[in-house]
Amino acid sequence: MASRRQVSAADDGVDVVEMTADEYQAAAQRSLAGLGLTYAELAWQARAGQFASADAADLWALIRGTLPDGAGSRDGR
Amino acid sequence: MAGDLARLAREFAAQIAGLLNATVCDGIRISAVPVSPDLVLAGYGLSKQQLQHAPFAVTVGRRTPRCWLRVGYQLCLDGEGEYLTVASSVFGVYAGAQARQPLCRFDYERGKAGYAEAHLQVYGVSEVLRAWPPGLSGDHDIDCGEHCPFVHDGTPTRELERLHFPAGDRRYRPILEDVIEFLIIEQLADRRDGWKAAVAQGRETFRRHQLRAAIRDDPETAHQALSQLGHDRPA
Repeated sequence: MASRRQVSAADDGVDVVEMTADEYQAAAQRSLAGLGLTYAELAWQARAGQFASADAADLWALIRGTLPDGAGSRDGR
Repeated sequence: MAGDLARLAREFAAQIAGLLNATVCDGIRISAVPVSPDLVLAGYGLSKQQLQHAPFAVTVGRRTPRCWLRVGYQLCLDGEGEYLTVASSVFGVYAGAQARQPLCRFDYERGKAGYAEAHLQVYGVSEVLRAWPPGLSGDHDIDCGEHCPFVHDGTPTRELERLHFPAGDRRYRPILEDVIEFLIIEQLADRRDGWKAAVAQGRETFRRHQLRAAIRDDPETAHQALSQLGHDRPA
């Protein structure tokens, strides 16, 4: 769980997180690794409508379509 | 971020943060992550380190939370590049130690194949499903293509969370305001004074946007409806 902090009156409550394409891919791969999944496996779970966990479904809602289909496949392709 | 998508996505994220902090939370911030010129992610707890949006405590002040929420969006512009569009969203309700036990999730995936774009999944045990007779529904096979990933062996799932209860489509679907109202009404979360007005305002904005989009989708029906109300077709 992340910490909370107060929002000032002049603050719109938004943090913009700028990333390069490489940084984005690395962040996505770390998130996938945290679930023990490759992107291809997560994409298959989405197509089948059977996610391995709520965490996996949550992650898919964010990163779907943002990585190549074969990204992170276990055979290294 | 550059361009209209960046500005609109930030405004949207600010509305989400404002809504949460006006209803059931304190000091929640929403991250906006530009992935490309065509896509922005928005959610709680997104960072350069990870994109798994974190659950945040649904509580006001120092009260002990009874539930946690996960909120995330994929945002893009519509086909004309003019209006902000939610490509997907997820609102997950969690409880228990470390917020690890899901209660339900409200998912929306624009263009989803196989089941409703907006759907509800509930986590738990269903005695009805456990007792459901097998071998009665295999003929769904004939509706599917060669590469359909769904299993059609005539036996429904025994797991409640595998069911995707339809909850609408891109125009008429649950939004965060509905989930907040659900949490408050079902006494799963404390609420701030004035929460009803915040929910009503957000819902009204959403419905007006969707009505405009529905009219753009089908202007002839819109003209007919206006004519029935006595409004002349514009010259």
